[in-house]
Amino acid sequence: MSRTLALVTLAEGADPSRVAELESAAVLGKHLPGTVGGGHFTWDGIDDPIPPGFEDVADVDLVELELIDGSLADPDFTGEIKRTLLLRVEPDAPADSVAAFERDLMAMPDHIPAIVNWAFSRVVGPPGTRWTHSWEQEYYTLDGLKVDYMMSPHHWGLIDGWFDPEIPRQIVDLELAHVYHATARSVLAAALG
Amino acid sequence: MVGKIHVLDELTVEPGRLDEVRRLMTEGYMAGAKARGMTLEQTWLTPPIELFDQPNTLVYLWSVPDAAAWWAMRGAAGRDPSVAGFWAEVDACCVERQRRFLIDDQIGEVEE
Repeated sequence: MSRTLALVTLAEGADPSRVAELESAAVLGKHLPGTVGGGHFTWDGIDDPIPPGFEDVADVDLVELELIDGSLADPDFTGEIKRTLLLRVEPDAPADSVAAFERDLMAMPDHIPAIVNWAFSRVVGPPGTRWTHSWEQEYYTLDGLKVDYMMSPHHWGLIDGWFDPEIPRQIVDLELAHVYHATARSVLAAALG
Repeated sequence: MVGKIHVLDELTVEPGRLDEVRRLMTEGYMAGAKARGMTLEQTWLTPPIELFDQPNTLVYLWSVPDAAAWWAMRGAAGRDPSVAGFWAEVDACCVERQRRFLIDDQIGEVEE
């Protein structure tokens, strides 16, 4: 079973009234400061679709996800942070490296208790998408992401080697979409339930 | 909380190319590393004499003050395409290279 997720980037010079409509759309999570490379909103693919017509004012980078694994430690999660990382593993990466990378990433919740719910997925569409994987987490607080997750030695001391251009085992492209938004409900409960 | 972090580069160099790699590191990396917040703590050569028919390993030990400084270093290197280009040039002289990160560890008391 697959699901969809989209990163939405407002176009420069877009019609302000349409932009205001977009910003008020409850189905979109507005990215918080610190987001990198993923535009202005995340549509998490639950409930209503992205309101039609927004292609006129925004770029909608939609991906189709196929779950590799995930965990719903708190199905009743009521916030406050949903984070998504879209990444691209280089097409010439050795298969055993890709498998090791996937294993390492999915071990992060064992080392970082601040990760509440999580899902790791392969991007399986649409054709031509630049992304290969999606790594989503939910946190009770923003510090859970910015401190516990980012500053964990497991993250910078081990996992990041797959991303680091100074390390020979790097297999992930430098251009990432690292985005997060406030939420009052569990997106992943719907995805994993 | 993690304090000082050491960055350990081990460059296993093809026979006959030690000076070339030393020069690359000195002229092509040191200044940029310093600008990214890295302090060079020590360099080593092992085996401790140049072998002309087998590889030698050059070891560079750097440090950054803490995890925030580590991310600053990492971010700066990621934004500068010349850094990856530099390592590609070094890798062409090496049979193997790795970078590891180290923190202080407590050595337990050994009972007699």
